[in-house]
Amino acid sequence: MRIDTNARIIYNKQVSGEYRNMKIYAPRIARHARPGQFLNIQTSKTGRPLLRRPMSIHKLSPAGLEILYKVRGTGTSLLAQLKKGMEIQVLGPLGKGFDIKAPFTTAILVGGGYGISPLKALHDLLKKKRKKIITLIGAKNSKLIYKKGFTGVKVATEDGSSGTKGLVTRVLDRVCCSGAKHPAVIFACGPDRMLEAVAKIAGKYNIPCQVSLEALMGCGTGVCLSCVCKKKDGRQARVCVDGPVFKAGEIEWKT
Amino acid sequence: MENLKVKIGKLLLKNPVMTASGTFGTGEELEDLLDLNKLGAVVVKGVTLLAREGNPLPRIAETPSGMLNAIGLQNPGIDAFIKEKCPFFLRYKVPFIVNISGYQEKEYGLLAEKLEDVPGVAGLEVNVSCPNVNYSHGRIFAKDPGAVARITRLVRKNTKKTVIVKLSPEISDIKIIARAAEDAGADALSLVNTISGLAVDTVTRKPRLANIIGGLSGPAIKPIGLRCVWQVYNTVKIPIVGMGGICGTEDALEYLIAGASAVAVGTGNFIDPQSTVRIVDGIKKYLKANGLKNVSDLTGSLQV
Repeated sequence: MRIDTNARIIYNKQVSGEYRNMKIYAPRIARHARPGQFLNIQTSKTGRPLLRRPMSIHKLSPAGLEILYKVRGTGTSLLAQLKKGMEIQVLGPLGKGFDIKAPFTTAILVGGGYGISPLKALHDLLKKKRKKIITLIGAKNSKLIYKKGFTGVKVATEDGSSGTKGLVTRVLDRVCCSGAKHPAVIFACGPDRMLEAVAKIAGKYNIPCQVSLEALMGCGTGVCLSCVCKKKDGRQARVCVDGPVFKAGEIEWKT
Repeated sequence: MENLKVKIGKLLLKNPVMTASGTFGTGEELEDLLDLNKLGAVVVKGVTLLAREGNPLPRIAETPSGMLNAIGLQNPGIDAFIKEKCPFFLRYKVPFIVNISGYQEKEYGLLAEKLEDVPGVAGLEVNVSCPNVNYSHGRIFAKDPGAVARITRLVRKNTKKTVIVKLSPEISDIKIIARAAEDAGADALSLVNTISGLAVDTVTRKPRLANIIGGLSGPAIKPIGLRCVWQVYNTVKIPIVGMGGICGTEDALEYLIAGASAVAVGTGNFIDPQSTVRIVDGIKKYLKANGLKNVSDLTGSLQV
């Protein structure tokens, strides 16, 4: 069930590196929300920017929802100016989240840059379910690494400013091949190229894998058809309602 | 009690607020967010004879007070549309109007024929003006009064349902095209479709749409839509469905006053999926506050 509501801001603060964290009070959305789903947030009532901004649910509590974001353009800079006690229009929960029904003992979370955001809500749920968690976080540099609250963290940066130097997918390959950690599931979110590499590794070791896609969205509700992706069965899926989480094997990657 | 009813062709709408094609799916996508029966009509996403994959991504780009889109009429084709999407129409009382597009003139006739006996289809919106697809011989029908007339006649011949022809504002004299559609038997006109535009990424120096050019919609085009409605209102006798940048009650009222009998919300649905029902309430309040009985009294009431 999707709800469009005016939500009060509980806090909106700089957390680490370039990341900001906003918590809103939206119990009706929170009640229905699951890790991997997202919110569509109206950052301005003046028409500039015109469209809402889709944001992953970063953390979930009974009455509150959190988003993680960094200032990138007009929408996010307006978001950064909002203060505690102010209200914003939020539509959610949107899309299909992560599926944790299958039996597994170990969860391997792979987050690329901002893609780490939805994995925190998933992490918290998996922890409650007493799963073993390995968190692999990759980014260009240490400023773009966000690891607060995660367990079993391994970091990789392209410039070597934090953790292993190189791509996070290389770390994933090592973890998968060394690990007699079966049955495991990989949950990944990040840029397409990273997800494609993650999907390949998952295939190689025959580990089930779910990916959360990022896409430019117009409506977030399934009507505008701007965020479609190709599936292996030849059909097109809408990232906003059929995803953003898909089984990695379903996706027809671009390269 | 204010009377919001308006007549568009054979359809008596309970209020003048509709959805614009391509911004509302069939309504099924949004039925959890608003009561479709509160709308005047639902105009559904455009359909073509054969299935279309649509354009490559990115398909949208935000621009000041607007957005460009080049979706490219992604749809399952008329046969799958009738089989998979149309049964949904029977679950609501609201009239569903199907938007049709063709590559060749004769396809419009075929589409009308196929939809004629489909239960739940109340009318057809004939899209001769999508800026994002390559029509046969690179022509845009909406710029050619002869083509608009022929297409309208073909559709008219094959359907008893209400026929609304959707026109482009990108034309030297919209009055000529509007008259051509009216003379060929259109019951009403939709004004306006999007206006083609371009947005550039200065870092990559690439266009922000894969299709390079897309259709501009949103508040940025409202004055153009209003101008077209006003000009056409003074030219034809058939009712006009006004659209282009309607996000709230004030926008809808402007269109009605300029000469529209009904209005359609497009891009506004992306920003607020409940904007249509809010506008219905807003119009009701306006009529009451201004001592007006019928919403139709507003149509063309521009004081000049």
